[in-house]
Amino acid sequence: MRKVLLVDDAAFMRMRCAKLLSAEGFEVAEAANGCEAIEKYETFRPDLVLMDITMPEMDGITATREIKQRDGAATIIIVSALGQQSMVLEAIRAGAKDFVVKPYEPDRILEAIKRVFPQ
Amino acid sequence: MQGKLADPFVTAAVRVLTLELGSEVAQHDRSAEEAPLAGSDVTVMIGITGGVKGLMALSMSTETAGAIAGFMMGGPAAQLDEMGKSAVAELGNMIAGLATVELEQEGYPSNITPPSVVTGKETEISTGVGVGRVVAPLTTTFGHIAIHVALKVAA
Repeated sequence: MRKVLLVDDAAFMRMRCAKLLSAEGFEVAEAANGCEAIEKYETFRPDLVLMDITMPEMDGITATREIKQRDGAATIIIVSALGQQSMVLEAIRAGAKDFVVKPYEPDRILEAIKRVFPQ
Repeated sequence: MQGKLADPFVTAAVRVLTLELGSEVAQHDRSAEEAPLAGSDVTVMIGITGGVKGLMALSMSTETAGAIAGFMMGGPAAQLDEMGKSAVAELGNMIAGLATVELEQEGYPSNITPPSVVTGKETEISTGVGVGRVVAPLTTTFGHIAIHVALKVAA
């Protein structure tokens, strides 16, 4: 079973996305900010991280950079309301594989995940 | 200038409310307010930093917030508990985030703070940036929502 770590400070977004991914057969863990995400990454060892950007304590770009430094093979997709071009570029430079802008249709997230896990 | 800076937020609000809530959205005449924001049951506040600074807020009644939260959670009107507040806050986050795309295109690359939700009609919220608010009232199928934008170009 593929493992996905959901990182978002909004409990509602974590709940909604966890429901979607669980129904698709993924094992899901959650973190509410960048610091928690780094800790959870070490223990949960997910195949994929879905990472918000705007969060308290540590933002998602910084957390992406930190996780990629610890594990260069980490696969991270940014899921954020901040869709400006400069932010997308910053996310890609930090090591993110894809960028999904909120609000999104559930299919958009599943398509992004399929691109990461092609089979 | 205030009105121009408010445009991206109103455009984003209409788009997000349409996409996220499947609601038709009617826009009404905007006004300029100098007094602190007060008298709303539920207010979602988001700080804006960078090329422009100030805040964006959404205000609505408890009934509207409950109906929106319920819909977003896939059910009937919900109590405005922590999960309900999180849903309404996320709506504000999406609106402010989308508005920053247009702000960047206008030459004001900006960032947003995590949203906070304030409840209680007795609460007064000052913009803290020394400018008044542009208030844009909207009507959705869930009730009335007002968008408040108080921004100035950063020095």
